[in-house]
Amino acid sequence: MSTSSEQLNARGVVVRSLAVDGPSGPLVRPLGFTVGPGRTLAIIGESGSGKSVTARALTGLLPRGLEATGSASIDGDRYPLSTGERSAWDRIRGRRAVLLLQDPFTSLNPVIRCGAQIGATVRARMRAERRRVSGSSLKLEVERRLDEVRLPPDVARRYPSELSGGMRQRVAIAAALAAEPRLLIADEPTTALDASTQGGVLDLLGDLQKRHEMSLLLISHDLGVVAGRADDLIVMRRGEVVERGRTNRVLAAPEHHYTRALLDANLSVTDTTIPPRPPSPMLLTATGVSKRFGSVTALDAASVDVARGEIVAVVGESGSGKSTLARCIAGLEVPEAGTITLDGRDLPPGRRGRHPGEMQIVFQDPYSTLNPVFTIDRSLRDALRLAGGQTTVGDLLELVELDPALGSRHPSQLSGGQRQRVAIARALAPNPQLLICDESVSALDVSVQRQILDLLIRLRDELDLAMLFITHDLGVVANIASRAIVLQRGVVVERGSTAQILRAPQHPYTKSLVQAAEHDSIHGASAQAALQVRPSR
Amino acid sequence: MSGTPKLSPRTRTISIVPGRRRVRWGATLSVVLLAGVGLVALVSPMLSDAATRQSVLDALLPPGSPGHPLGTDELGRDVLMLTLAGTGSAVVGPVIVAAGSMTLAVLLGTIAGYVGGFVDGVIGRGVDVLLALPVMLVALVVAGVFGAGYWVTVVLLIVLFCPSDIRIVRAGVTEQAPRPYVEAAQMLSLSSSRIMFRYVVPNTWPLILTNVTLNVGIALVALSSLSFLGVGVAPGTPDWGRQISDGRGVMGDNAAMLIVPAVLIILVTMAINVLGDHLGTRLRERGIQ
Amino acid sequence: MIVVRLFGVLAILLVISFLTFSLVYLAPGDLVKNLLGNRPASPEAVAAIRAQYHLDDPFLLRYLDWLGSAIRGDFGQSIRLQQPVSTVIGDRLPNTLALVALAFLIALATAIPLGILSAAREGRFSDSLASLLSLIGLSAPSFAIALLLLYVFATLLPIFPAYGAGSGGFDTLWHLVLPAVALAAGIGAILMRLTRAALLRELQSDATTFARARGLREADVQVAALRAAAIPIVTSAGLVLTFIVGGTIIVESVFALPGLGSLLQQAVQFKDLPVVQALTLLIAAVIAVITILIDLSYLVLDPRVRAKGLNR
Repeated sequence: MSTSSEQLNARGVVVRSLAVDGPSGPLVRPLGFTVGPGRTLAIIGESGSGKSVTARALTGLLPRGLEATGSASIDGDRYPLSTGERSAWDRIRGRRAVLLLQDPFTSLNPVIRCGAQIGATVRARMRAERRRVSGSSLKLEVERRLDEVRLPPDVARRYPSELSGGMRQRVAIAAALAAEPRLLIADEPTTALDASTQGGVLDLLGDLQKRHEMSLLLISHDLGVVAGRADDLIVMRRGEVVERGRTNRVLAAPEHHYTRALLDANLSVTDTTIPPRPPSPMLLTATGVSKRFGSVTALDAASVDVARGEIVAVVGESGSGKSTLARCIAGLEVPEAGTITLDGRDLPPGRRGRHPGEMQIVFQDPYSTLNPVFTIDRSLRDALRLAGGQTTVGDLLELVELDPALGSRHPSQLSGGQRQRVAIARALAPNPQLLICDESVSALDVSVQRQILDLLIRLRDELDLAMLFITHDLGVVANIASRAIVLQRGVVVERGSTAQILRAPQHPYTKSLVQAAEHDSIHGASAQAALQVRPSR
Repeated sequence: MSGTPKLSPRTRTISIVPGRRRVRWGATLSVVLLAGVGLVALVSPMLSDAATRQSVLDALLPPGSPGHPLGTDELGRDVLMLTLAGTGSAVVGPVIVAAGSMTLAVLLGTIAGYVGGFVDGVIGRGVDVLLALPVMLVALVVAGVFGAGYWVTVVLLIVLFCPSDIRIVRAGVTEQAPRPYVEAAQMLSLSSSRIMFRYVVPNTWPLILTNVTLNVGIALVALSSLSFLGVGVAPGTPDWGRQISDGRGVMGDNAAMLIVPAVLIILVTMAINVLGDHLGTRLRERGIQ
Repeated sequence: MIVVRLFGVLAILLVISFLTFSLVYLAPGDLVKNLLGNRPASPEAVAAIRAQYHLDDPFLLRYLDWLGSAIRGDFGQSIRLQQPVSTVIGDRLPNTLALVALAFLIALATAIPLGILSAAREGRFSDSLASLLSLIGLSAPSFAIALLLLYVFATLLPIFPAYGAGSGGFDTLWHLVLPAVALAAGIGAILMRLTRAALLRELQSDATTFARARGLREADVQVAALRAAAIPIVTSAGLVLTFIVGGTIIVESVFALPGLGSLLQQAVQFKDLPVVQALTLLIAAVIAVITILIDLSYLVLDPRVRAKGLNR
């Protein structure tokens, strides 16, 4: 065939029948793709889709116990993916392909200065090219690499622990590019970063890729990240490719129903359809709540109120104090100052003297929200114990749309979404007046997020629940809350109706959050997604 | 505190435990050995008479002598019977030490870790003081100066083992306490004792079980070292440490007197350690699932 | 931070000094009789002793008195040896120091390379063998190892001397080899396991994966991992040093080495309480110093801790 000789001379990356097997069956079914020089291919999938395993298989860095097959060629240099031999990978890693990892807090060595870590890549490249490098030219090269990622030269003398997450990821990018690879594989490069720094890092990656004419393989769970950044798109689910094509085409007219579900689930920011509610009496009023941890002020005189049947969002990035506010209201944290009134009654600080029927929380992490040693049935019975009433465990499970037969299972036998439903059922057991959701959907896959949000809205309508919804995700805010407050470093910087905050933000911090979120939302799909949002009563 | 979700693929990677087959094989062998030793320990009080029967005529027979497969000591006592009868004090005491100190530690460590504040401070300072000196040194000095017998020494070791157990339990509890399932129980206004002992403690069970097992081995070494130094067991009582100490004088005549119990102590402790490591790995694996 | 730690350690030493003093107060037996030994117990002699040892003063006063002299280095007279306790301890200190140093060196020189090898070749035969060795070292009581060594290398194959400290210089070193090996076995096993675990953790870290992913040589990757693992290894080496202190009691007794460990054992046996008090306090102080040094080593070695320490 003529194609093989063509591909031998081809520039760019060609991957053929890449597959990964694990001890309990295949993780990735055979797939192939090409990425031209200077072009970007995105692989999108939720956790368990096999996207990260695919990324690692290309550089021979699979965890032990996993086996890859297939082959890849980079600029005509073809290599098998199945080899366990270290020396075979020496030729590929660095000069041909580099894998950039997700978490900048762990991917740099904590006891080695940043400059030396970038320098180590430079040395490795020089050695491979059989060139010598002097100390002064190495220093210059490191500074040049730092400049490329827009960091000052004195970062070279710092340890990773002295830098912020965004700066660390820039250092990691500099260290990766110092190898001058032809293919850069970026595995969720910004997932561990705050929303306001994510965009900058992604744009930087794009610029550098164009400048170096590299191929970029971008792995992400977030369709919003790839819109406008990737040329081509592969959507994976459970180890299989469900859809592929030009990014614009896939986003505008998805063919597979799973892709469509992902798009629908990608909540859009600006098209909020939740109308402001008619004034009704306030259920919860928290005023001037302050909390310090040691010398750090986590919360500075924050106030929020929620009416019956209303959902109010508390928005902020990590460290903004939004969870602390929720925990102070719930009594899990004792605030230094402030009053919390529920239904006209002053609540004591702390849990002592509180009643379970006042308010309940649904937490973020579905994996630790249920007692691992209890069955679902036992967990819910404990929740019903002090509540009295006629409600049974079966009623609770039906309320959250779960099969009552799941009661006999342990949490480890349930999916994340199912666990979060059980957690909601447990919170509803004492019939609370207020439900606090602390990032309750952010650890879930996007398609499951949507279902849980729909469930919460349904429950609010049926039970006339008041909800305080803590989140970092403006897309979630747009689709569930009628009012919102924005927290920055413990201070409420803006408050108002959701529409007001998302369409006409006043404070610069809110503006930057909305901008970052808008960039990530998929414009082609947003109108469609917004139309499907269940309108509020 | 909460931020963007982390979908790290590495949190759920599959890694194959190195030398897993060897560990299983070793664990099986350990169980067999420990079961045998445990059985002998159960019947050992009945062997006491036969073991302490003296006969001047048969003193210091070498191993392989008729009727005395391991020979006799300088008092003419049969070394095999002596070793078998010594199993009791070698095994029973350590098990009680490990179980007793952990029971105490679960109570104190859980309260310290869950309640925190002043109570935690008081328990913590007590632990600091007790951990400032090696267990062996305190046991030797206190038991030696007061001339304590076997059971008093066992109680002393329970007290001395407790601080490190408290630290382990406390660490396990403080790791569990901020978890959502515990806070959810607090939101339901369940009582603190219910949350501590129905929610938190069962989830530190792997930690507790592994450490009890490993502590049996450490206690076995400590108790036999003490009786080797002449503390804890009355002279003339069948006991491995004591026997080894006595055997030093007759090493040239009947080395079996010293070597057999020494090797037994090493083997039993090894078996306990293998079992403890195995338990730890297994329970941790199950915890991940 | 360090100052707070220092005061904490001083408080603990004070509590221990009080406990050791109470121990003597509570110990069974008549101190006067012990002190008189074989001399006739005439009322004058008894009165003289009671006066000399302030036995008629209230308990707290006697404690403060004792503590005051102890701080000045005066721990009274050894009842058994009829010499000042400080002299008795001073005479035996060099032997124990030499033993501890040799054992520590042997443990470091074998356990750390073995731990590194074991981690680098994880799951292979050499790893299994090293793990088995450490299991034996971990399980065997030091007296059992000491006696087996004694039996094999001094009785069956008379290579090494069995007892005593020798006549100084090389002879002493020769005498210390077997006891040091016996002492090193247990702590070496612990150190090897900690080294292996620390290095394995680093070799499986994201930082190592990322280093490999950018084409660094495997040797450089492993050196970088070792640099990160060095922190727990160094601190666990310090921890192990505190275990040696307890181990000397048994090993010195087995080999009849005239050191502090055997001194303590004999002092307990003969109820020579001033010596017991002094040694207990001395050992507690040594261990306290080691733990402070461990804390300081974090400050020197770990940039993360250093940054935090400077911010405070």
